[in-house]
Amino acid sequence: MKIQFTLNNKEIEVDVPPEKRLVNILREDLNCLSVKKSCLRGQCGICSVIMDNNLVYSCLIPAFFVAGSQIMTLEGLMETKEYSALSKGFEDASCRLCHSCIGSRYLAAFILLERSTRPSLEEIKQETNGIHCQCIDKNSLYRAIQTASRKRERKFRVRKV
Amino acid sequence: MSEKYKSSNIYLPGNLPDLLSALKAHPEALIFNGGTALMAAQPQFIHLPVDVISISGIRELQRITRTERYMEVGCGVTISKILEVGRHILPKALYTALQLIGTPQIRNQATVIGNICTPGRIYNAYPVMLLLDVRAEIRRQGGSRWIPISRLYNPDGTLSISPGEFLSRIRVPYERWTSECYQILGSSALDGALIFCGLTRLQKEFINETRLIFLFQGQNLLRDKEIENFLNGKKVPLSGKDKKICLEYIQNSISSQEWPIDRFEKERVLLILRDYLSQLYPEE
Repeated sequence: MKIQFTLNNKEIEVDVPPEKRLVNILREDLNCLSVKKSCLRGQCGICSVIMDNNLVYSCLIPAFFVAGSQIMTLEGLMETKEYSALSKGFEDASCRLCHSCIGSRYLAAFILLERSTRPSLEEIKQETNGIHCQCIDKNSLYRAIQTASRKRERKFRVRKV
Repeated sequence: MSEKYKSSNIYLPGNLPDLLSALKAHPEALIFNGGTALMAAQPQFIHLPVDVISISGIRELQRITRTERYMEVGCGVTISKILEVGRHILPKALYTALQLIGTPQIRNQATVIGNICTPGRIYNAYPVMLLLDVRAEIRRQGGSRWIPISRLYNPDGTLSISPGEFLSRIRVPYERWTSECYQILGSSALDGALIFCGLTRLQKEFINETRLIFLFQGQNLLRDKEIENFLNGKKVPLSGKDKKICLEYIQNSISSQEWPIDRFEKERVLLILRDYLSQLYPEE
C-alpha cells in the first residue's frame, strides 16, 4: 500500500504493508534511527514521535493511519530553531539522557514548550510520564525542562526586541 | 523481531457518505478509530480483520458540539481533545475518568468511543457514562438511532451494534451533581483494578438522587439500585445506622453475583463505599 505523509517537513511516499507499524517504517524504510523500538505495546514510550502536533507512540500506529499526517522525529527537531535552546537547557541542568530515550524525551519537552512557555511542574510531570527509562531520575528531567523553558523564553524575548 | 503481515483490505473514506457506503459494502469491516487497544494487544504480529475501515480522515466524526443541555462527541475525537474542550463543562467524574486513561501519548490517539466499544473488556469511561445516562448514536446508511449506553452491550457481552452499523457519536448530558467521585484502586493497567464511581445530588440537606457503580477488573459491573433507592430522601450527613444498612445491601449484592469476588476485593468495596457515604454533607 502506498502511503503519503510528511516527515520532518518533507513529503514522503512509502510502499509498505498497511499494518506495518510506524516505528518500523521510520527505522527500516526511512532510516530515522532516533526512534527506538522496544515493548511494541505502548508502555515504554521510547518510540514516541510527534504526529499532527501530538505526541504518540509510533509502535501503536499502523501505516494506513499515517496517511496525510505530519510526523516529526528527533532528526526533524534538530533542524528547528527551538532545538538549540532545548539542548542547551538540558546541558545546563546536567541532564544527560541515554540513546534510548533522548529522542522521545526531547520531543515530549518540545511539544510541551510549544503549548506552554512556562509549564508548571504538574504539566511537566504529566507530559513526560508516558516515557519510562531509568537512565536519569525524574527530578533531573523536570529541572532540565524548566531550564530549557527559561532559555527558550529568553531567546524569543531577545528576538522580539 | 520481524513482523508477519497478512494484509487486510484497508478502506480510507474521506467523508461520511463514503464511510456509510463502504460499511454497506463490507458490513463486517472493523471500524478503526485510534486503534490503541488493538495494536497494544498484538506486540508480536499484527492481525487485522479482512476488511478495515479507518475513519481518521473524516472531519465530520471529529467534531464536538455543545448545546445548553448536552455535549456531543464524534467517534473520531481523541480523549485529549475532549479533555481540552470539556475542561470546565464535562461532569467532573467523567473528566477524571478520561484523565486517568493511559498516558498523554495514549490519550492523543485513543478515542472515547473506542474506550466504551471494545467487546470483552470494560474500560475506564463506560461505568461513568452508564451513571450519567449518556446516549450513543448508531448509524447505518439510510438511518440512525439513539440508544442509552446501557444497551450498547447484549447480556452475553457482545456489542449490540449490527453489521453495517457503527457508533458515530455520544451525547453527554449536563447535569449538576453535588458530589461526584471517581476512583481507581489497584493496578493502573486495569487488570486487578477496582473502579468506583458515585454521583449524588442533594437538595438542601437531603439526598435527591444517588447513583453508584463498581467495575471489577475490567470485566464485571455492580450497580445496586436498592442502595440508591434506600438513600433517596435520606438526610446528610448520614447516620451510622444508614451507612451500616448500605454496607449490608452491598454485601448481599456481592454475595449474589455469579462471578467470584475474593475477600480482599470485598473489603475494598466496603471501604470505598463507607468513605463515599461519609463525605456527603449539606450544600453550603
